[in-house]
Amino acid sequence: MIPTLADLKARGFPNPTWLVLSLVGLAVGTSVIVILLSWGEGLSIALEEGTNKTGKNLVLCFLGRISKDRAGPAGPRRIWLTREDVSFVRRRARGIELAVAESRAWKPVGAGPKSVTIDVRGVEAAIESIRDTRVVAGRGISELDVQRRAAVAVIGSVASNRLFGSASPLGERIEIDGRPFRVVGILEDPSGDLIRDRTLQSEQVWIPISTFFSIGPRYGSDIDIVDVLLFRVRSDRPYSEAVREVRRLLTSRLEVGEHDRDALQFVTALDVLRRLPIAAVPRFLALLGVVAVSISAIGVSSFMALSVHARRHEIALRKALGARELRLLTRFAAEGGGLTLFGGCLGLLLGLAVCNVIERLDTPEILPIPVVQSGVLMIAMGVVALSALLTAVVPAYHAVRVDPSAAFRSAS
Amino acid sequence: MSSSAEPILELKKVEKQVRGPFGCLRILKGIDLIVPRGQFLAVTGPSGSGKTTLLEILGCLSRPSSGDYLLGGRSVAKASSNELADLRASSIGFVFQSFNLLARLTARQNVELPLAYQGVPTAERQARALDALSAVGLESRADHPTPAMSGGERQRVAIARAIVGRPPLLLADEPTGNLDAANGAQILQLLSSLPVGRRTLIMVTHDPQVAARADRIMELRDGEFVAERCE
Ligand SMILES: Nc1ncnc2c1ncn2[C@@H]1O[C@H](COP(=O)(O)OP(=O)(O)OP(=O)(O)O)[C@@H](O)[C@H]1O
Ligand SMILES: [Mg+2]
Repeated sequence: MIPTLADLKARGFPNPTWLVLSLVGLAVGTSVIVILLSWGEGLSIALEEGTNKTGKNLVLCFLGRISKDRAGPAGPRRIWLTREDVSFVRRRARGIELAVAESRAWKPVGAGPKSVTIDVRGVEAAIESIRDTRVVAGRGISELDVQRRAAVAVIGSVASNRLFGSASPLGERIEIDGRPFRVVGILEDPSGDLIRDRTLQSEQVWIPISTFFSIGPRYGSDIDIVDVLLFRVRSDRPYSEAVREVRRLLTSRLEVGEHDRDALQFVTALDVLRRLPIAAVPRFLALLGVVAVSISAIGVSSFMALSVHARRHEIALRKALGARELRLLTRFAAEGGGLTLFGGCLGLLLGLAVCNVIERLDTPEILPIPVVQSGVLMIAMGVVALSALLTAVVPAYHAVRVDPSAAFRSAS
Repeated sequence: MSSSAEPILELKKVEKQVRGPFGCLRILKGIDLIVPRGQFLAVTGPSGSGKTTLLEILGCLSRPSSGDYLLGGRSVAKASSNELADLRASSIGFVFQSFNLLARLTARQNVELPLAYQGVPTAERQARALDALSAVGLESRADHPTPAMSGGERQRVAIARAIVGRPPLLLADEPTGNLDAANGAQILQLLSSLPVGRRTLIMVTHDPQVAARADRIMELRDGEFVAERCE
């Protein structure tokens, strides 16, 4: 069924090389569509998994400043959140299942003669649960640590490396702001830590939030300020509704306007990821595949138009001998559309084969593998079908327009 | 003149105009013509006088711009392109100056083409094509490719193709124009011996000797008949 170049030449095709190039373009374009869309699919899935790793249904609430246009005569004031506010939210919000306070500051941290600046977090015991992480050695910050303002610290691997090199930090003494702490645990390195919340978890040191407050007042105030409220939306509740509920609770308690986006900022892992256009990149690139297929289809159809032109005497003769237009039309439509379908199917198979090969390759975890979904195939087939339609209609149209009286005027 | 029979075709004030780059061109200017069944009509005239254009209309390959064309008593001036295609398949045989054979088909396949468009089944098609080829003396060359044949042989294949569907009307546009004298005479002999009985032949020719064999000669000049002579 596959015509050879010699066949094509004998059948009056004007330039078979051109046709072959167009068909190659079609096949490559189609395979590019399949590969890139599948890869994009794989990337989205990997990103979603990353989100789950970062903390499922995790929402971060940051405190800001009342915006100018909403502030009263006193002018814009900074608003605070305390641990009492956090317990209030924990008690009252029905759409969430966990609420944790966190404070943070860049602090000088020393170990022996070494001293480095580290992102120190004052945390509550539930932090591991809400950030969906764990301690890989030793123990985490406990409820008791928080109650007793224990001078204990849990350290990330990068921070540990900076302070202790390759030696184990467990049980070692460190100084934060000149105060002695004992390292009781080492934090896990989350592999899919896709949101970088100021620093990566591995670069941080965690201490009990109560101890954190006791190190010294910040912002020139004696209030123990919570910088971030982390909460987890109950999995059976809609995300946005729960966020709205917390916003309402806090705005009325803090007496700020409910719609003041400057005062309270809610960040969800999902939001952050959605804002990243990473997954859209392969999809965008797949458009290039669509362009390639379209250009190739135009190539095939202009080739077919030329081929009809080259055979116009034959077509005129056949018409003169009594061939109905529909008969010639279907013949040329089938020829043009068939060529395109042939190239497109080749491309589909090529794309699937490439996806399969990539899947089998031993790629590093960071490189997502393509995931071929039926939707992707449908899109590719749709593009091919549209192109086939184009390459069917163009020659058919030209064939119908051949004037049968040309039979008398041919010079062959 | 065998005008006693009922006419196979009739042209009434047929005009043909084409829109060219320099405005409208009148190629045929009110042609009136009645051709009885079985007649051999020769159409002569200088180059550019509209002979081929006339044959195109007679052969249902193009429609007159105005006027009426009755073929077998039926008006075809406003027929659809499908109706015209069917008419061509069933009623008209063409012989062209340049043979118009499809080079990649054998002689027999070329002859079979009109039958295919009439929907004749394959077996019958082959038999009738061989019949037609034997009528022109080329039965033995049936499965030869036509490009290998001489001009005279090719024109005989073309004549076989024109008669294979047993059309009542044969149209030939200078069928000897591309042939030498001997071959031309042979083709002419063949064609003029064909319209036996009720088959009508209309032939365009420049050659007075060819025209002399016809029942009737009409001279076209600048889109109008200027002279008519009956043998
Ligand atoms: N489609 C067309 N467009 C423009 N002019 C045309 C067209 N068809 C025919 N003509 C013109 O009409 C005139 C008659 O053409 P036609 O072919 O019928 O002449 P002819 O008598 O067959 O000439 P010849 O003996 O050279 O074959 C010519 O001048 C030709 O150029
Ligand atoms: Mg002519």
